[in-house]
This record gives sequence, structure tokens and C-alpha cells, in this order.
Amino acid sequence: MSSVFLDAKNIKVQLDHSKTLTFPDVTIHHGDAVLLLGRSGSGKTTLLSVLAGLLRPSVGSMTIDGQSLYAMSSAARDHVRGQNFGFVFQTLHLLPSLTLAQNIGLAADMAQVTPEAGRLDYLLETLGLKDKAHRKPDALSQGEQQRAAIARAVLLRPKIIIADEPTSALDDDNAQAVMKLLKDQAKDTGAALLIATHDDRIRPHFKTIINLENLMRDKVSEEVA
Amino acid sequence: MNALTLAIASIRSRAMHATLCMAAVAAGIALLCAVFLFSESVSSGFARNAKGIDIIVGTKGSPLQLVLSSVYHADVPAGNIDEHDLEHLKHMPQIRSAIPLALGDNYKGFRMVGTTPDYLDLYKATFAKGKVFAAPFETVAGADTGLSVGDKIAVTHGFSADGDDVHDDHLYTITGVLNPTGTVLDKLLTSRVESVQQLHAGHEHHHDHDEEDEDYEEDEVDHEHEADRHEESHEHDEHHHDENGSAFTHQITAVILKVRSPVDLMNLPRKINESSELMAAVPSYEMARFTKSLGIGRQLIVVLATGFVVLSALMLWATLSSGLALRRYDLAVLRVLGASPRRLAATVIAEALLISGCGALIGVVLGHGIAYMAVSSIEGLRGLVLPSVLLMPRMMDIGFILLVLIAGLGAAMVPSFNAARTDIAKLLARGRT
Repeated sequence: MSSVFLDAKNIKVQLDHSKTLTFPDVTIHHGDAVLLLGRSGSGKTTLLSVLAGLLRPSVGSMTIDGQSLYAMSSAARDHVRGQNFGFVFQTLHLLPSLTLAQNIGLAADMAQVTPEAGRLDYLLETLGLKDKAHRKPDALSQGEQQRAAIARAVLLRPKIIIADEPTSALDDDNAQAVMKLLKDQAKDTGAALLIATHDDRIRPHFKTIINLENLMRDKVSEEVA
Repeated sequence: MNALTLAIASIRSRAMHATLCMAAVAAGIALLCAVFLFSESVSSGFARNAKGIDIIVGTKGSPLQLVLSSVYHADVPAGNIDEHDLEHLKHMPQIRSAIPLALGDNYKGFRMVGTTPDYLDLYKATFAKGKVFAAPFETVAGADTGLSVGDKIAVTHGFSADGDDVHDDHLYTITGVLNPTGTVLDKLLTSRVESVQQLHAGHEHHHDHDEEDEDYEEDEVDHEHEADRHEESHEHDEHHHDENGSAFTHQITAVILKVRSPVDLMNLPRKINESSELMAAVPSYEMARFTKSLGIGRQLIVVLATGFVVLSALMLWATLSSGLALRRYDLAVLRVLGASPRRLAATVIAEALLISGCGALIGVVLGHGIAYMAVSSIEGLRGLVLPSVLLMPRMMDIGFILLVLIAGLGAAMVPSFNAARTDIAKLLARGRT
């Protein structure tokens, strides 16, 4: 079994004076595929924020490759996040004033890391976006924008791809296509995949499922890919 | 992609807001710049033209009119003084030099000044061609007159270019053309005092209906009509003419004095004003008083323009804040991608500096243009202010740009602080709204 990449234990987040969310422990190994399942308001995005170093938990420990994430300075956490995490959101958040290529390159710019030579072109080619590279997001279809968002997430070969509700707004065919794309890219880059969703349609893609409804960790017997 | 590129992208995505902000900044700075340039140029023009002139002496009346008419050639003189007064002044122990000025005619709007070559030295004039006047009716032309050596001209009585009382019985000959001096001298014709005196003595003889003048063969009715017309012209010019033509040959309009010490500069005008029929005025005092009275209007415009700049800073603040509200989710995404809070703040600040900086730059260019057009269109300022100088960049421009950049920075403070402390987790949890 591969080594542990991300380990979160006893995480509690106090939302206000009366409400505290208690999360199950999350351990993700390099190359794992984990589904974080729960309906809207169950705390999926809050947990993702804690795991990505964006929200300091009230209680609990959180390590990335053995290093305590919240013991780091804010700047160091930003750096770790930029280099190790790739994000895909339900709303794609491509900046409208930038071209597709610039939007994808934004991941490297913000993390202040130079992507490996030819990586951007490779992704544009692989994801069928090469001839759209200089177009603005408005001029692209939803599917093309989705692929661009995934390309941005994997540009720097992150150690984990985190996707928040990537398929919720899509029909069945597109939902499956996006899942395939995410899994392919995770496999291609050797990244772990963590998806938070309430979309039951993608459950079959995972053998490790963290169900926030019951605040317990389910493990299905086999992966259905 | 750095903060600047992101800022440009942000501005482009809200081009209308950014353009309005820039326009407001540009309008304020253009007004400020134009007012300061105009005022500074007029003041320096006044100073440049009065350099070397300690006191101006003329007939009793308004000291400001005396200064404007005889130093800046921007008004008509109130009257003449006797040439003997010049001799009297020359012999006063406090006076280092005295230069006579005899005014009364123009050539196409360029005033003819009867004087001595010392007047040219006062402005450190050099010759582009030819030489200084020596004999009567020889004249030196200023750089802007467009005349050439050897040209013969007939001057018109009075100071209006479209006057029809032409002294064509005596033509002036151009003996020299001056290089530009950046002073009123560029628009003057200078000759010996005797030239102006003789011409006007002859002119007065016409008024006295000198029937023996062989060249003057008009009938009696025409003579009367002509005389009336001349009188009207004289009244219009407020140019005093002695009824006795021969006496006019000993009159001048003013005397430029240079004194020996600052104490003399303080005491001599009072002494002259109290003990004679002459009036002495100190150009620097008169112009300081004049510009001070103009200063109220200037201050009003400066207050208005400053209001514009403050208003544009507030607009910028509002634009940045509303822009931030619109793209806070995008900023959150940038944070998720690894951008530090400082970087987000830098992006907002860069946006503010770009908008305010561009606005200020446009404003400064416009301000120079407005000042240039204003000076070029005001006839009275020609010769006082050199319009082309108004198009040159000044240190003041950097000051204006810095002022606006500081205002822009101030306007960006709160929005950039808000950008830096964007609660990403809450925003991501809530989704784009």
C-alpha cells in the first residue's frame, strides 16, 4: 500500500456559538480515489476547506505528507496548497477576461511555479482544447469550460485533485464523461482524487466513500470503474 | 501572470466603470493642471517682461494701467509726460538708468515704441539680421512681426490693428530683426523717440488744419470730418494729445527706471508721486496686487478641481469595492490556487493605481492642451506668455500624477484589505451568488 498523503483526525469546526460540525477521520493515500458524500449543507465544502488548508479547524490534527498543515504559516500553507492541490469547482470560475490558456496557466502563476515544458500544450491537446486556447471562456461550451477547469487543476501535477460537486449540474452522459476525465487525469498524474458531492450517480466510481450523512466512513467491497 | 496582468484583466472585464473613473480623474487633473499652468505662466510672463524694470514713470492716473500699457503693452496709456521730466529723472542721484518710451502707433497690431537701444538691452535682445535703429524712422522689428530688413512700413495711429488713420506720409524702414526673446519685445517695433514724436507732431498739425501742407489737398468739409474722426480715435485710445503740435515733439509716454539700491526702490516712487505731476509705479508691486485679485477666481477653480479629484477617488473606491463584490468568488478561487492574501491585495492596488495613473496621465496631457488653447486664444496674453512653453512637460506634472496615485492608493486601501481577508471557506461553501 502506498504511503499516506493526507491525514485528518478528530476534526471539529465551530460554525457559530451553538453549532459545531464533527467530521469523521479522513486518511488518503497517494493515488487513492475517495468520495465524500452528503447532501447540501452537510458540511462537505467545509471539510474540503479544512483538508485544503483554507479553514483552520477548532479541534483536530491535519497533516500533508506527514507535515502538520496548520502548524505552518499562512504563506507556507498557500504554497503547499498551490503545489500539491488541484481544484475543480461546480461553478468553474474561469476568469472571463482571460483566455482559456491563461486561465489554465493561472494555477502555475498563483502557485508561483513554472509548469514543466510542454505541459500546457499537452493538456490542451489531450483535452481537445488546442484550437480554443486563445478564446475567452464566454466563447466556449459548458463541456469545454469543464475540461479547461480540469486542465487547470492538473497543470502542476498535483498530489491530490479535489473536486467540489463536479457533476451535479450535468446530465448523465456528461457526468460520466467528467468522472472519466477526472479519473484519467488523476491516473495520468499519479494524483489522489477526492470528490465531494451529493450526486449518487458517481458512487460506483469509488470504493472508498466517506458518508457525511451518518458521519461514518463506509468502505465498499470493490471498486466499480 | 502577475498582479499587474490580473489587474489589467479585471479592468478590461469592467471597462465602462474603469473608463468613467479614469474620465473623472482626468477631468479633475486637467482642470488643476490647466489652472496651475495658466497661472504660473502668466506670473512668470509678468516677471520675465518686467525683469530689469524697477520703476515705471508716466502721467498721473492708474498705476496698473501705466504698468500694463508701458511694460506689458497690454493696455492703452493714460497720457503723456514732458520730455524735460526725463532729463530731470536722469539727474536724480538714486537713478542708475532711465529709458524713455514713446507710444501711440502700431503696425498691424504690433506697437511702435520710440525708445533708445537700451530698451533692447533690457531684454537682452540679439539680432537675427541687420542692426539697431540709428536715424529717425529706422526701426527694429521683433521676432514675431514677420518683417524683414529693408521693408518699409506705414504705421497706423493708435493701438488698434484695424485703425484707418495711417501715417503714410512717413514710412519706417526696417534696419534689423531680433531673435525671439520670449518677451513682449517679440511683438514690438522699436525706433528712436524722435520718430514717434515727429510723426505725431505732424499728425497734430493735420488736426490744426495746416492749410499750407501741399500734400493735403482735401476741401474744408473733408478736413473737418477727418479731424473729428481723429479726435474720436484719440478719445478711444485715451491718448492725450497736446493741442499744440510743436509741444508734442517734446512729449513721451513713460520712462523706465532702474534704481541704485533697494532702499531707492522703496522711497523713490513715493517721492516722485508726492513732489511732481508724474506718477511712479513699481511693476512687481502692481502685478502682485493684480494677480492677488485674480487669485480669488483661481482659488475657486482649484477648489473645484480638487473636489473633482476627491470625487474621482471616491468613485474609484466605489468601483473597486463593487468590482470586488462581483468577483470575490474569483478572488477566492485565486486563493485556492495558491495566491497569498498579499497578492490579492496587490492585484486590487495595482488596479487602482492603473486606473488613477492612466486618468492622471490623460488629465495632465489635457491640462497642457487646455492651458495652451486658453493662452493662444486670449489676445492680451500674447507676448506675455509663450504658448509653446505650455506644451512642455513640467515637474509639476509628476506632482499631479503622484497626488492622484496617492489618492488611488488611499481609495484601494479598504477594498484591498477586504480582498486579502476574503473568507474563502465561507465563500466556497456558499457558492457563487
